[in-house]
Amino acid sequence: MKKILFLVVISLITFTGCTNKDLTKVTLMLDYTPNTNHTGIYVADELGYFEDEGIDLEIIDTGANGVEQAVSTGTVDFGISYQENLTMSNDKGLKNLKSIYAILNENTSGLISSKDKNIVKPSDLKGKTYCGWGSDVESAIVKYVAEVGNVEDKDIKIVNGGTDFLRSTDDNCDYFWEFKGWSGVEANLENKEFNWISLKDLGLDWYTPVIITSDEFIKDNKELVQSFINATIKGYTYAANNPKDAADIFLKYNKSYDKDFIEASQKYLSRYYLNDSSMAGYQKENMYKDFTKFLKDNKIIKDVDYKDLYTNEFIDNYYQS
Amino acid sequence: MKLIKKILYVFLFIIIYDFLHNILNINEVILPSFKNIILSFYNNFNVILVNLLYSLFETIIGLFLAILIGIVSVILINEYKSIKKVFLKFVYILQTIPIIAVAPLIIIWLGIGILPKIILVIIYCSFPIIINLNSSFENISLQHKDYILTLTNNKFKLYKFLYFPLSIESLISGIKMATTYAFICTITAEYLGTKRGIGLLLNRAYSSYQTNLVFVLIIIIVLITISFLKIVEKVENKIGE
Repeated sequence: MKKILFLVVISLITFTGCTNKDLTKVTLMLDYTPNTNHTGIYVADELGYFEDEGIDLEIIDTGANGVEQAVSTGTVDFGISYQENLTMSNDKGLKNLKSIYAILNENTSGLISSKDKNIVKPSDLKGKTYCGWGSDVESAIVKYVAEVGNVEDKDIKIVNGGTDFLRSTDDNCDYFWEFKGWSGVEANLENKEFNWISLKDLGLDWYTPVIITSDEFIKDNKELVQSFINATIKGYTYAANNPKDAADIFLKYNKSYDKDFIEASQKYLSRYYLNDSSMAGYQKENMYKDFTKFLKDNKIIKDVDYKDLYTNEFIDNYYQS
Repeated sequence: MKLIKKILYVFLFIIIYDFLHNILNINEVILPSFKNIILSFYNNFNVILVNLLYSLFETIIGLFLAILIGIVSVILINEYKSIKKVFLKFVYILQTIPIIAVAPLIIIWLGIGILPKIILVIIYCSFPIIINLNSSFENISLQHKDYILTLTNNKFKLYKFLYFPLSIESLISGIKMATTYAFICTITAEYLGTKRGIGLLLNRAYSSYQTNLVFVLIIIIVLITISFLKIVEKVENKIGE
């Protein structure tokens, strides 16, 4: 009896040992609390795409700042960042960061305001107050929009509001800079009427969000990065084609969220996962070139070569094979 | 009878609140109704429970270590008077730094696991214990000390029969203050970066417009801190007897 038990235990140990041995542990740190930008990752995990590629993925969803530092120092393997954070980090000295995947193929952010504020076009910003959190990029963006509408700098007001469009009870706050796939969707669910000025329509476009890693990690683990990107592409492609299923998978991983909200947000966002040629993750040179110039012109960054910021190597490898 | 009265008052408050909420047509995202707060608690019960246990674990370990480290360090500075001044200065300086300034740094250095939360709880909760116990030790008169020393030369007995019996009240009031801080400390640290915990839920609820869940979590935090205090009071009464 004891012998059989012993054999069973031994075989169990070796069996589980075998299944785990093939998988490489990989960590991915999210930029913010989990949201529909991240759905493809959860989908790829749930449907076993990562496992197929030999990856055991750990998603670190901390809501913490400092993804760029964590990736740069190698504390985590991959991180989700934004093109503006990536560019500014590069300027501040984290030169080894590289974007390897653009999650959304265009910028879905814009200036949102309550319907009764009558801010429909850039020239309406005259005399109105922007409420935000006081970063340099924000004021550059507000000034850009104002410039498009021929509004002078002295006629725009920028303050630190500390809240957002939907929860602002301060009537002095006229407009906010937010994501349509998140706050716009929630505003619709609440039947709150709003006006929207899309930044992309005004010719200001960049990638938010992107997946980043470090040059050292790419150098040492080229195949692993390729495997990670393969699975990610599959996950986002699935989410693009099946928004409803993707939302359900997201909710399975993030149980405390509101179902209607996530489904509506997913329905809106899924279409941005793929570009016109049905490719996921691809990054256009113009986006980096123009936005880096924009940040330089506004004196937010000094010394960044946009070519250092991204690579399409892994995306190209996936679609060419 | 008193309890029934209390419950009745709470119910009355809830009914009036929801009634007004309904009449005034207040936006749920800005200020939720009690109906929705309770509904949110019911819907998220399992998620809340898992995360609550995680936070409680961090807090209890942290608090226990804070008390232990607090007591041991006061004994040490009482024995080695030369380091006393420097040590106390250091403790005071640590205390002047707001937790939201320290927490992100500790998270960068030590990651997002349980350890950084425990360390933060230790930093902030050992303070009232050290200060209270130390000033109580300082107030013990030399005559008392000399008297005990004539009877025995044993340091252990000195503490057992003189220092601690005369300082037990200050120690417990220090522990009480530490207990009030402890859970809040954990939650704040979690809000800035963690894998699990009430702070993480709070962060998610806020960023996904679930104000009702934020209220559920606030009520839970209040109840937990009050229960912690009740437990310390129970222990205090036991010692008093």
